[in-house]
Amino acid sequence: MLSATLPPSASPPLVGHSLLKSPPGGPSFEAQLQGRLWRGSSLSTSADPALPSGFAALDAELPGGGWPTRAAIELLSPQAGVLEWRLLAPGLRACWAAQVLPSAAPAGRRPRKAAPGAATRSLLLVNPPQTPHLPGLQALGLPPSALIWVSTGTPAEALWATEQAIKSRVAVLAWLPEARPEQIRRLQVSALSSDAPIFLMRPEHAGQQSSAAPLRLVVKPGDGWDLQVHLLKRRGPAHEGWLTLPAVPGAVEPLLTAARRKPLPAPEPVPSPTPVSPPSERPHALARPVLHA
Amino acid sequence: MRWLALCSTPDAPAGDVDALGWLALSFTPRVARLEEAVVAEVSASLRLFGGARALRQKLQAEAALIGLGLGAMAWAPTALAALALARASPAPQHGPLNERLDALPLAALSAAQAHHAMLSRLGCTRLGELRRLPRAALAKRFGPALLAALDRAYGDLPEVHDWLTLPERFDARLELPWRVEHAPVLLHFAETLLRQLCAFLAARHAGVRALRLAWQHDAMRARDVGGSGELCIATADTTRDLRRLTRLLSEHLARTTLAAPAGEISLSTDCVLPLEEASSSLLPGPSDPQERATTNALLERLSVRLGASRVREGRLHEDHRLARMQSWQPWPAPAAAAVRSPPGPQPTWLVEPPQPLRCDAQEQPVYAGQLARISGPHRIEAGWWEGAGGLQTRDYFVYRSATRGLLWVYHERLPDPASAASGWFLHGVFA
Repeated sequence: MLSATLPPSASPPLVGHSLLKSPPGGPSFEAQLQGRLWRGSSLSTSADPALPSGFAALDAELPGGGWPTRAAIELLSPQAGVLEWRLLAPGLRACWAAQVLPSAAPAGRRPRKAAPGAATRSLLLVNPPQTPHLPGLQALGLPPSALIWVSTGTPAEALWATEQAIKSRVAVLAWLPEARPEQIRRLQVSALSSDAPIFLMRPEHAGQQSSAAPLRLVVKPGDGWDLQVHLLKRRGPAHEGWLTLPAVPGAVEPLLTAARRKPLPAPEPVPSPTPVSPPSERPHALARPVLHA
Repeated sequence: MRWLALCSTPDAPAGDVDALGWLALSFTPRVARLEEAVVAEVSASLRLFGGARALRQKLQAEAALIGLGLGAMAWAPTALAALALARASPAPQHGPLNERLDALPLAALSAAQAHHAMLSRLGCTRLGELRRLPRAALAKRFGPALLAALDRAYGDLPEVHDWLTLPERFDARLELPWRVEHAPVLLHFAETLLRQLCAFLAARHAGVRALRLAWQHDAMRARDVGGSGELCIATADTTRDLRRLTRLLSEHLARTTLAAPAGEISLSTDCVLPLEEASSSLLPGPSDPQERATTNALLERLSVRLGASRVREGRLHEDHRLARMQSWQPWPAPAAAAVRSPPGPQPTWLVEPPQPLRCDAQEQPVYAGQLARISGPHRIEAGWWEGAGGLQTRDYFVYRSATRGLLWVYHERLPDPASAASGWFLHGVFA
């Protein structure tokens, strides 16, 4: 078979070859090259495991089908402390639930001495905007014993604590309102060796700066109970438009009657939220989806 | 008999040889100090560790792990011969012991080195030439010690050793070569002691949770300064990881100021705890003890650098009052009993202290614009047993703001008549 004899590191001119699109038979050529060849028009797939985000619509747009590991993920939102848990809790809950299960399962051979709560990995909250409320987080599925609240005095300390946590391969949620691009780059370099999720919360205007983080999202509260998400940067084609994720805060869901589930009309005197600005990073010509004539 | 001679690297501090001996004790109980080296009789342990080569590699790996410099090593059927071969390395590796020893220079055997000048005038430069001299004349000329050492090295006389034993508790002193005025400089010297400690712990298959580094101020100090100072460091779990202890000690020393220059340091530990050896697991899992240890090491460093009250761990309590449901305590917090989850919706962020809100003409709260009521009231009335200060009579509501998300807002049912506040407070956010 011809495709099997080709060297695995295909040179760029080969990419457009007709052989790649319709292999005569057997596994497709791109399947053999998975992880080594990435076309700009398709989402990158990497060998590193991704954490499902809990939102099918978001997973479909994220490279690897979920929150990537070995990467710093930037979340840009207009106001800190408004929607982080609504967006992150489904993914984090699944991550922590998966950890608790294996330690409970092998009870056959000898009883474990460790307390059941001691087996979970920690989640560091660096410099959160408000006091985390454990009963609410527990209701979201995050074990209280896993949460460590690190409050720092200066932005430099917050960056230091975040970097140390990333280097120790501990999951981090860091609120870094004043981080500069070179500091984010440093965190991203450290993140390359970490297999834990790393989320950096930054203000919305940070989207105008460049950033080394391979995944950047702009998140806003939507009209109703949903979240508006735009992928500012990802390993893949530029994302256009906004994703609408249904995210009712878990604690409030039982209280909602059917009528209240509908998007509430905003009270009149309130000025409508600032018009949705177009994505401030113009997609590069190479990053746009390839349009076949 | 298989003797292994271990020399430390030439530039290593003097205490490292003790540490090397303690390290060797984790492989065989027959370890002795012999001049500047450590000799260990390992014939009984060879099978357990999978042969001489595997044992040597394991020893080298252990030494590297605890930061000990391991110099020349040599195998021989007698301790003195092993030492002589280690000193003269590279020495011939194979062949009968007699031939290998015969080729060594006189300096390899301390008893011969003492008479080096006279022997070289006689034309003796190798041990073999020394051994061929007439024995009676040799004993008469140089005393019986030289002949006895020669016979012991060649295995003609039995050897007697003082076996090394481990002290019950670790307490090591180090006199500093110069006066140290800044605490971070002490780390360099404390590392030597930490290496000894780790070797000691390796021999006992144990770890520590608390250490005490003490320093003696020298005589040239101010009148009001005491004679010594000390620093206690504690780890969250039992460990003998040199790198972790060193980093933790460096964080502590960076925040310490010496009252006067120090001339001597000592490291001691009172409590040695058995350490469960980490077995490698087939499947990497969350219960990986290695990972727990790295997390603990991280949190230790954070709480030293940032302050203990800034690295916090939460504990739940059974209470209906929002502010009393949880307490954030300095990490590591004592374990608490499991609690039932509180009724009603719980926000994810708590606004502390509650933020007073203005209200509009309809007595409805206002916060960054109009709010829409989603649910409520959820009445909380508790804390009367704590007196007037603890009593909370509040109606909680879920309000929705266009920009600030879902809010947990309460209204005081019995507002303080003296205050002009509206009685509405923001107490949490459902983020």
